[in-house]
Amino acid sequence: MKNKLYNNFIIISLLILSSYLASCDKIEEPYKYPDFGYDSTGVETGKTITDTIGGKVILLEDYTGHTCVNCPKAHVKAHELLQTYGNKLIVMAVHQGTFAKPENSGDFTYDFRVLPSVDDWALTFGIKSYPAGMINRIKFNNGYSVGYTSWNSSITDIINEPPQVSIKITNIFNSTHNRYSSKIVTDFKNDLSGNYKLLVCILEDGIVKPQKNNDATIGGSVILDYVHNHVLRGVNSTWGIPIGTDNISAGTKIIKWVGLRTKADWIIKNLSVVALVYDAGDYHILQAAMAPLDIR
Amino acid sequence: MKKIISRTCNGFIVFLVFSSMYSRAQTIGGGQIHGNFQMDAQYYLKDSLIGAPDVPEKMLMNGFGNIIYTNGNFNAGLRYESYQNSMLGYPAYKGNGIPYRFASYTNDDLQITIGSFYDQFGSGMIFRTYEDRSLGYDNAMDGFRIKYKPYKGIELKGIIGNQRNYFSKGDGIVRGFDGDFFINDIFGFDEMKTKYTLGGSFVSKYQSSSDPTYKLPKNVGAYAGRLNITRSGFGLMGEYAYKINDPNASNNLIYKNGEGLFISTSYSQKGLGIILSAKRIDNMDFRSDRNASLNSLIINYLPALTKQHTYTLAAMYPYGTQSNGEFGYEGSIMYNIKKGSILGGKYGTKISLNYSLAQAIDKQKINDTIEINTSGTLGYKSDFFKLGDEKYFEDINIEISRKFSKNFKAILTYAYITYNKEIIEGHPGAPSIYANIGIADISYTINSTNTLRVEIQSLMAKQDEKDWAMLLLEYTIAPKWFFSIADLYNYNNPDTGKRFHYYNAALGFTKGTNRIALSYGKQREGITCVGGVCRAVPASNGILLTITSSF
Repeated sequence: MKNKLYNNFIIISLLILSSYLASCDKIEEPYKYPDFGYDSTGVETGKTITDTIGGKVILLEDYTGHTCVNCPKAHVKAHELLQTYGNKLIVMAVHQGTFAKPENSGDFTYDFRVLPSVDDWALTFGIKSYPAGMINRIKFNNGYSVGYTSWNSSITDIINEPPQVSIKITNIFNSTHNRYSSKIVTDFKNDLSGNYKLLVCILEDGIVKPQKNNDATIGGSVILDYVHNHVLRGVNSTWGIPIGTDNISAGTKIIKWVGLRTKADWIIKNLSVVALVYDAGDYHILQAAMAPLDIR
Repeated sequence: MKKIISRTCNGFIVFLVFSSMYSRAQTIGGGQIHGNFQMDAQYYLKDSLIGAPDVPEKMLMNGFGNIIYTNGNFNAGLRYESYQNSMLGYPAYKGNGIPYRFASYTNDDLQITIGSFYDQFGSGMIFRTYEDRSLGYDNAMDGFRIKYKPYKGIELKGIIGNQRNYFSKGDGIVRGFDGDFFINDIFGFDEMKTKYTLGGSFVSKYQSSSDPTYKLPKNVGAYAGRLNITRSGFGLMGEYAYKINDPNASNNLIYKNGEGLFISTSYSQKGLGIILSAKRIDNMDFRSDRNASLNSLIINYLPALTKQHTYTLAAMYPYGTQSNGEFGYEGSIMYNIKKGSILGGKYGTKISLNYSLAQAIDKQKINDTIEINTSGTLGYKSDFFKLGDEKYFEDINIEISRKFSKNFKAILTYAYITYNKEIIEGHPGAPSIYANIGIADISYTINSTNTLRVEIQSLMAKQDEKDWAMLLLEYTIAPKWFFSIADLYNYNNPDTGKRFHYYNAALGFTKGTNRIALSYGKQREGITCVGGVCRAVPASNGILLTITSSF
């Protein structure tokens, strides 16, 4: 009798315990949170660091991939150009295409891609070989794609052009909602006619992940602790938001607020916000600006 | 997450010592200590031709030792591991530590284990923790396990803990419960020839989330039910598993439920064995960390339905289970042709025929506008019984083993393997490989201690690195010595500059439970798989020393 009581007690205890195990969180649609809003109040955490005096700031988009053996050479070139042009140049590493696709096993399983935006861009701009670059999304020699050996000459062609737009970024952190937002002020300096859009991107520096390589001066064939810089992490939408259509007169100032979505594995102090104003007719970028997300 | 295991170990060793003293205090007395040890140390030579990297340390070493103390119903043990630094192919292991330590006792049909443990529910589709050193795989649990047998024929099991993640622990908490019910024993049908066993299990993992984009489930549950019937030489085993929404890095954050079905039947009688198995796996990658990748923090095990080849060229293109979607079938027939018959010869002949197929499952868009596998959606729809279009792997092979005389025996093997490299190795755009493989394994026993064995192997394919040949000579002086030389030659590589010889020479000495082996040679880059779980093997060139011992 004693034994039976003991057995029943153990079984009931196990059943009670197992009922705790039956904890499943069934998620119903929608699986995403509603569109991210912004907060216009909070603590200022970062301001524009690119040319704020009135010069032109160029965007170099480096289409790259972690299994692309020639890409580290382009990364080195981009780094050299940053040394040369300083706060007049922004480099954005866009991981896209075959060489950016994560592998199922081995060293290259990480997914850097910002899909579907980067694939849409590559399709639109005819990016087919890697590494490839784009300078301000302008066609050089009838194509957007520029080989890394020609990046400097393409930048030289346009860097002294007077800017038609200036951009100022102010990043805000609202602790109540635990949310970052960017205030972006676009100041049109000339009378313009066309459709203009604002694209906001988040970049991250210092991501340590493997990279294939074929340049012995940079490292071995697989560099396990490669430091990936200027990596595109997020974008407000593939083609941005409209900020002006048809006739815009000089002196027009447009203020836009954008809520910034960050992910748990991003390192906040390594993040930057990049704002681009471009002509939706031919995609060419009128001006670019960059601000660290949070320098506190 | 970054709990350093060794920090907890000092306390554990103290516990072990005191528990031993306590045992003596209880006048249990005696007890046994046993253990084993292994060390692999390789001296690396740079070989840029075959892609072997320069190793700055020149020599790398993996080693471990197990020590187990047993006394009556009590046992305790630990495993010390050392990676100085880890050998090529095991990059995530570094340093020294005691990642595995446990104590366990049984009292009145109740067994309690504290610390580390390996276990499995059913076929493992929702829970299996195990270690495979060749894969660098170890997903041991660290926590509590309780096993209890309340009545004859009923076995219950409960587990809770974190999983080992190299020298740290995973973020998630894994909880589980399992029961086996031996119907004949419970109802007293001991005399019945047909034996029935029912089983059921439930596993839930918890991991916090602060993702700003996706509503991620913190608790993900999976359950499984199984049935096993045996009668004389006949056996039937089936298990069905179900997992609720589990968006993770492996499935690209889709919210579809997971399912797994595994059925296997077998028949054996003297001289004949038949096994037929089938499975369907859909979105069943189950880990205690939703962001984990490769072989890290996997909670479950999805049985592989392909033959585990051991000959080098037959194992060159091994299959890795596709946990997020595959159909698998396997059939094997083993037949012994009688001694003294025309076909069987004087000593009899064994024939083994095996066929396996792994294919995609059906996947359809959930609507016209959402692409398959889009993050933040249900991902796809799938017709349970419909095969997908893509073949992942196929293997048809036959092995004939015959002893021709007292001194001479041979094993002949032929295999035709279809290998989808793009899916299995994740190389975009890589073509599927169709390989014809022939192997002759011939042994000649010179006298009671001296044996010469020769392996002649050929692999012919029109894809990848095309044709290979291998010759191995092995001389054994039982019971202490063995010597071998081998050459693996990629004689028809489409790149004539890559027609490499991967030669290897080895010798080994065994005395009692001690074994020392030394080899020098080149290792080609590839993958190795055990039971459908794979590891990338980097190219290397060097001298390997292996010492194993046990007491």
